[in-house]
Amino acid sequence: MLDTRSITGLLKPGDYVIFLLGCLLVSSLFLLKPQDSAGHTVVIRAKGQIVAELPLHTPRTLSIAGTRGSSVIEIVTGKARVVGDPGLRQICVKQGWISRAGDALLCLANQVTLEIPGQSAGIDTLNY
Amino acid sequence: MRHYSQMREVILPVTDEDRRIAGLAAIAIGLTLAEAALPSPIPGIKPGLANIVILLVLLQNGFKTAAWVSVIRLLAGSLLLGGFLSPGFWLAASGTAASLLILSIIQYLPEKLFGPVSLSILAAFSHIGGQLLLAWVWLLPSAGILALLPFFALAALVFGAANGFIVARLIAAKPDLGAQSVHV
Repeated sequence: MLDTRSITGLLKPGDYVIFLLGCLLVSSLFLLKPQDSAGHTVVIRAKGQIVAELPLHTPRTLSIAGTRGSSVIEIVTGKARVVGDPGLRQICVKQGWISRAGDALLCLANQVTLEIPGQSAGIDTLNY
Repeated sequence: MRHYSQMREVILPVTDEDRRIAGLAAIAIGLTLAEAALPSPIPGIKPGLANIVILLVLLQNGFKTAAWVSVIRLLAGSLLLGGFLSPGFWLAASGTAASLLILSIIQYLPEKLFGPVSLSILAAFSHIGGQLLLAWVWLLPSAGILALLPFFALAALVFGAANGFIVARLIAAKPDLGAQSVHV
């Protein structure tokens, strides 16, 4: 009933053009899609300004000046953490390591934040 | 003091056009509800079956009627599904607005060259475009939305083409479908 001729009979020349342009758009979107869901870099901000954007595969320790003092940040292969922070409650220190895209550490008192940019693979909530 | 019997009765005249819009909107709402029962791998990816009706209405009854049917479907569908004024409703509303805007322009494309499939694909792309734009600006201003874009675009292409093809088939099978099928 639905043979090839009846399919092509329903389509107009412009339809093919639009469909092909659509395919082009979709495939270019897939190609341009950010690939790193594992997280390759860490963005460090102090007082809202980006102060460093470092690769996660190079181990290093650095000190970032915030509003109350300096936060000490440690990067080892694939993960990062805050080792020391002048904040009272040490929340960002106790949180430990972050490694996945979408992860973040916020040292609010000192206004220093670490974030691994990219799409968050985990789902926080889902409802309909 | 005026008595009830002396009060002027207010009659809102119901035109044939009103009845036609109501009937077509009812079909679109029915498809919206049926579709809500279908499971979806990613929330928000849906075939958009109601757009078959809206596209048919656009081609048979004109843009104004199609816009009415579309807006009534949006409002009534969300009321029936319980999402009225929820974030999901506003996403659907921005998608509807974007696709109606595009349709209001591309309806003037030469009919000899561009059939329902073209209209449907372009409307589907603008639908997800409008939705993701609002989601990006309002709900999740992060890179996360950008990563979903290819999947939404793929769904728009596939379902847009499929719906447009169904419209083309329905029109080919019954050229006066939109105007004749509804007697309410």
